[in-house]
Amino acid sequence: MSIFHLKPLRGQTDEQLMTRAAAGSDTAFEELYRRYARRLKGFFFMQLGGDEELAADATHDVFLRAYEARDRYQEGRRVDTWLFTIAYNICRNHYRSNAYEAQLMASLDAEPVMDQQIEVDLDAAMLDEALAQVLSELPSTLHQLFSLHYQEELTIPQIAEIVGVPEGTVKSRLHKTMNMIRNKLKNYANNK
Amino acid sequence: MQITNEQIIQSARRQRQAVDSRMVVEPWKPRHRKPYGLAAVIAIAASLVSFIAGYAIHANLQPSDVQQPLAQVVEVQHDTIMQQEIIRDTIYQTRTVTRYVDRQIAQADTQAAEAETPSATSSSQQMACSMLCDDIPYDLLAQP
Repeated sequence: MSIFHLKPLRGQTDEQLMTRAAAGSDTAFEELYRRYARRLKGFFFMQLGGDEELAADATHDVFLRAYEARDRYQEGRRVDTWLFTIAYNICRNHYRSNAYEAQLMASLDAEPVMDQQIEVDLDAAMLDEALAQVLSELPSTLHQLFSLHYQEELTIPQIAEIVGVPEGTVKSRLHKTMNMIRNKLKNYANNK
Repeated sequence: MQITNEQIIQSARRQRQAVDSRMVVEPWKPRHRKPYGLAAVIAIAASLVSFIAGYAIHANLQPSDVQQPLAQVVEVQHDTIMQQEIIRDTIYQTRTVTRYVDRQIAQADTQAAEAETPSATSSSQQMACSMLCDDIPYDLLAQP
């Protein structure tokens, strides 16, 4: 028995909990659920059009898949990356627009990264409302990328593992997504 | 006012936190999928039982075109012999009298025959005697 089996569950890292869950501890898995369920539900809520019931189902689906595959967990792998990989795939399956998205990503990746300065003149009080609308209009792949990095605060290597692309591609896509958002915010401000 | 990237990122995080505070999470129930499997098994078993019961009812409702066994409809009387006799009481009136005669055992006749010719027993008589030993009714023996 390793030393972390003697520590209380709340004091253990995600990876320690997952190792215990893989060994058959349901309470360790419940602790992981307690840590991540709300966060994943919020992620799904923002990605799946603000449908709370759908977000709850998708969240449950993530943990169900993780629970069923817990004995295949590779010790040492980051649990948040693993859970968000499942979540990302559920989102992709939900939209069922992989062909369109793949084409869009291919053309986006072919474009050079422009260090353009897009000036957005917008009242700060209106920014939250404007950004919510702009994010909902983004292609789902870019929206997920933006959300994973800036809202879920996952690192570039983690996102690269989740999406299955090189880190450089993640960086360039994030840069282009930010430019796209700034352009849309500019249009939003001009129309107001 | 010029909006910076950092302001956009901060706005996105505010939105995310606002969503998080609204989210209600149910307790973890790892066995959610199990009832579906159980329900499927119950449904299959129920449909199988229904099929068997339905088949049995259907078979019972069909008019039977199978001939009933002979033993159920034919009453064989070995013990009695029925005799019917019409007796005229008056010129205009007759009545039918039915008599049930006890089985006649051929042994009595055989004894009589033996009494007549005790020493000369034919082979046919021996055969009849042998058959009578098996307790065969007299009227059947009387037939040619």
